[in-house]
Amino acid sequence: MSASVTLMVWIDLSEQILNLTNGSTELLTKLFPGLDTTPDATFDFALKFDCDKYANNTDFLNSISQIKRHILGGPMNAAFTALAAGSSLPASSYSYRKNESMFICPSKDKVVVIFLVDFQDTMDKAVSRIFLQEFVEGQRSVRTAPPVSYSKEPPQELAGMKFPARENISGYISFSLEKRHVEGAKKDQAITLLTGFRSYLHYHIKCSKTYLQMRMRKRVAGWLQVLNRAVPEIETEKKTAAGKTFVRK
Amino acid sequence: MEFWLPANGAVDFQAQVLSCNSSSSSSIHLGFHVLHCLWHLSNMANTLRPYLTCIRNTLTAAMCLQNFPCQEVERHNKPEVEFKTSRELLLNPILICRNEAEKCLIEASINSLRISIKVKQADELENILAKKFLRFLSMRAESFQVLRRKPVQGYDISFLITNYHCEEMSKHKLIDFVVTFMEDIDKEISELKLSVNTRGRLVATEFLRQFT
Repeated sequence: MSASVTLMVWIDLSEQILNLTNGSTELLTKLFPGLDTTPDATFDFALKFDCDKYANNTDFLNSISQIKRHILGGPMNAAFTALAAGSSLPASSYSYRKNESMFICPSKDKVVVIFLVDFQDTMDKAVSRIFLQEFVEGQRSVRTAPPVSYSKEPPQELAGMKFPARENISGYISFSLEKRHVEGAKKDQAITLLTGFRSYLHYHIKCSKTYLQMRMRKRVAGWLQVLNRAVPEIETEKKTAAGKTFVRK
Repeated sequence: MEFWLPANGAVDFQAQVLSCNSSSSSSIHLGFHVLHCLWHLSNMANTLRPYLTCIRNTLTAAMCLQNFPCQEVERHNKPEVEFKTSRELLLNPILICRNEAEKCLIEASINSLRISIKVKQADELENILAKKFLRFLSMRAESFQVLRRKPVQGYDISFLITNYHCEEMSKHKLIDFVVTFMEDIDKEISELKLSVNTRGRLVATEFLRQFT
């Protein structure tokens, strides 16, 4: 059996594999040792494995199902490992969607992971801005979480980086992870959270929109009732259970 | 002719009676009503209440519609406020403003009445919510008999009430509907906005909590 993946980010990643700065390959060879990874023409990455051999290997199957997380999390893994060890890697950027990018900017005592968030729809855009703003507010109540900042302009860390400047996007959200956030088991948790950030945000924006739609529907039904109350009721002949005509006097 | 109200404290309330070139008795009647309720509301503290009271009273006065076949074309019977075939059939439009962003235009004619409402939109999200909400309503114009499919230019939503509606429905209940609608829409939009904020906060906090 083979599992194949198409990811836009692969182009970015594979370019950097040549420069040996990227952590995805390391992580993948560690997780899937000795497996054939040559993809078909239309895919970017593939894994060929024997179904019988791995049928009861839960860890292996889990890592296959999370293959996207491993690929996308590779560079983060490398940066966090370096941070925990007290060194730092050069900054890098990955465009994991057509209009969305992720930037990893390591510095001496922290790694800043920045997401360029954007939506096509104006409604999504407005809701996402509120949500991103709330991430900054939320950080105040969860003191131990990595500091978050949100801006519509590219943040300072991206000053030296080259990327297409775009107008009227939802914004940039940056998570500054310090050493305490990437120690031991926390590292994998942090990578999982950050690689899943986009899906998390999208899911909740969609839920929010569904809720709004539901409320609107309910409210409109209420108004219709008010309007229908304006139509006077037509008196009809009422019958009792026995079939006799009931006359109100 | 314009009537400006003395603002009471911080309340920014103004009402104008516009374009007084016709001298029909109904328009004087309308003008009187507006003045009358303005006098009432200058004593109230809440701004929404007087705004709605003013609209309610104006509508009560304006909604004296009668069947009136078209004068120009035989066997046509159309709302004059839309077609404006002859000037003598139209009354003075009345504009009632709570502030610059919230206003209500009431145009009356012999057989029809058009109410156009502009809803408060303080920021980007409110603007989008209001637009979405009103589009949602316009799509259901069929079931809301008095709803106009397209709002008058410069307004968010319009109602068109003809003499037929007045014959079928009780006038006061109809006015109740318009006023309830206006009352609810502001409330609903701010509640929707609040729900987005609350959800956002919860979503963000839960996400960040998992880092620790």
